[in-house]
Amino acid sequence: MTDYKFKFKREWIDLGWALRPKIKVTLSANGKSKQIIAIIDTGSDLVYIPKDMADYFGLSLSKNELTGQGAETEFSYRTSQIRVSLENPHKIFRKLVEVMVPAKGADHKDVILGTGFLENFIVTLDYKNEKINLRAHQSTSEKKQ
Amino acid sequence: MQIMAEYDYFTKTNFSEYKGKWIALFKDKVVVSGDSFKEVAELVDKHREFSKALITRIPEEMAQLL
Repeated sequence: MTDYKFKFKREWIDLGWALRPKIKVTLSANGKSKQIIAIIDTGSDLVYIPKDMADYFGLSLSKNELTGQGAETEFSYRTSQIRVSLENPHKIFRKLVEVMVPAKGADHKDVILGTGFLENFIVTLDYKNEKINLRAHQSTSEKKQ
Repeated sequence: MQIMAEYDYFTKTNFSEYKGKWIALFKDKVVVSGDSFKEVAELVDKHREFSKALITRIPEEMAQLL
């Protein structure tokens, strides 16, 4: 088992401090790679990235437009694939995952890590201690060179 | 832990002055800011020394429902 440890991010909202499960991941495609912050959402089925992020990485999008259900409204999306990596001092987890890229009706701006990525881990969200742990099985993590 | 330096800075720091913006963090500084991921990523690409920068959006100060 390999653990990838993170912390909750405290962000101020009208009602006080919100604890948000934001982690660091590396996204890679077509020779480009960027470290970004993504939010864990166990209620989302797939990984979501904003349209301009897909444009930056030069992702090829599916021809078919599908319909998804957002928090309040339906939206159209296309799919693609991007490599998502996590690292700790000893190991790297890398996986090519399917992502949804909004076409119409969605303007969410964050990267959302849903089941399509989280299914590779035992996910612990410890709100009391503000700690997050993603535990990957040994076979899915590579030793660092 | 060097690989988490920018992440540690991100989790500990209040970036409210950048709300609604995208920012790139390198070590313990905001080195680039802009209105979109693409804009910030392309600015980071122009500075090789920032290649390991951590890019994130700073949300507006309101409750979220994903």
